[in-house]
Amino acid sequence: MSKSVDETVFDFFSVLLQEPTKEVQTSAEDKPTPTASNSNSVSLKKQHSKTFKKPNINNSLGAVVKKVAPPPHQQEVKKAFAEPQVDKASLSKLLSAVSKPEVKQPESKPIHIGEVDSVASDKSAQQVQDEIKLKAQQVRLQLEKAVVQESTVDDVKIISSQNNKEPEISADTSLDKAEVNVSEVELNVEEQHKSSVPPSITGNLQDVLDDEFQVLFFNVAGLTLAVPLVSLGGIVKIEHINHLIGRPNWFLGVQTRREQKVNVVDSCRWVMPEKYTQELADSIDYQYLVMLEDSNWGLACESLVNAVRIDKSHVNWREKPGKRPWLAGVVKEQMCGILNVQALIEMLDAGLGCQDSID
Amino acid sequence: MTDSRNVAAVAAGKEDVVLQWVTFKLDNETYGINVMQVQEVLRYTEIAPVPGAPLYVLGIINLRGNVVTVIDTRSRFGLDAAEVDDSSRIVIIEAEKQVIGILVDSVAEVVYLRRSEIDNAPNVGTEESAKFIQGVSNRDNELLILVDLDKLLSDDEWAEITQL
Repeated sequence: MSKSVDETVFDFFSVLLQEPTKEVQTSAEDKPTPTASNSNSVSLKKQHSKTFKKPNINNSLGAVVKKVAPPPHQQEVKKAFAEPQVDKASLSKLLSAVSKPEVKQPESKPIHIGEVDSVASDKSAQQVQDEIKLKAQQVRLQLEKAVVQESTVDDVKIISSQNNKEPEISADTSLDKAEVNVSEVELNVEEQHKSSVPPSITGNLQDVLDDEFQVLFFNVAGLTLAVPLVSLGGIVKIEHINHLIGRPNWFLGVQTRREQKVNVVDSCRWVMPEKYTQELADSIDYQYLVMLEDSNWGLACESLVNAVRIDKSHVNWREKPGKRPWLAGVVKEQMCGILNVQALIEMLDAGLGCQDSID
Repeated sequence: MTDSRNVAAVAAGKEDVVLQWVTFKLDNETYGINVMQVQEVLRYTEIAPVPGAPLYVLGIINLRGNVVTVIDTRSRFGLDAAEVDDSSRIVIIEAEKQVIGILVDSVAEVVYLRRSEIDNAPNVGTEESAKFIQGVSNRDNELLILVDLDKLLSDDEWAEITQL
């Protein structure tokens, strides 16, 4: 009863391998997925045709499941595969659990679901490999003759939401009829991701950032914001701000710094004007200015939290500029917005507020 | 920035003219007006209200037999009203060929500024009052806001106050 996920997955694929015929290999070149025309879709791409024996399947897939399968699914999977008959619904959950977290990554690097352990240790394994290769060739020949229509591709459905661009992969109940060589499947989201990003007024912040980059967290009226250090022009202590008449209400004024004039933004009022009340205004005690790149703009903040190094994958990047092009995404761990400084500068230069249209 | 302006001035063959500015305080900010437009500075005197006058007009005063309209500068600049005190002054100015008075919190000094020391104000204003500022200058780490008196009122408003 205490089967591990590795063993469960192994059992599942063992069942699949033992069942004859109706084996299907899926690839982008061979057949389009149901959502292949969709820019947000996920295509399946064939990799090098490595096949494997049972023990290797166990090893390789198990390793993948260890990486990506969330713990809550483990119990369901265990129950499903402890029974002699394969619970197809559980299989669906299993595969979706394996694939979903990976394709959420905004960098959309090609994600390999399964990596074949190339170390073949004994001769019987080699024989099994040969058999599988033979079967695979037969199936491939059959597939070449038959026109595979989208409506008939019910073995593997790749569902991609146009809105949230979070592809979700689920296995159909007919999975038991086909061999899905998971090690040959690559979720190639990269191209789709690029094409799905609408043109922004500033380009993509992700392009200029390294995979790992540093951000500075700062507080404004209880709200934490992050700014990439590459976009940070400096930190200035607020001393005396000169109010200028006829400016937007979020424009606090001008502070001189090294004979230059820093335009001070009331960050709270700019970022969340809908929550800005006189009471809130009275409670805010701005201490520092977070300078934006080499511009004259400084965001007033109450305190500086810290600067940490984060990975790109730790940010839930916004894929559409939408109404807030200044917001590049959300840092998952701190649950705070990360600024697209270039966009912010352009908006401030144009005298636009947070909710003003950029068109 | 200053260097680039100097270079531009030299390139244009113009002298870096020194201008004098009368500075006054309004809501803790220092403003400057061209000394050539200032006729005199008065202590606060009784201002007679004018029925039906625009909101930005405080009233009129009698200046040696001449009626001078006094403008509510705070109101014009979009600032909150404040009580008149001992430091309040009425600055008599000439703009658009008219003589008017502007009520200010206090008058400070006359400063000398080279043209190269004057920068443009941040161009983010969309309000009417944004056009009053013709430039800013940094003096002793304080910002001096230079006011274009000719633009203090629109053409229609200048015409209107002549009818008072």
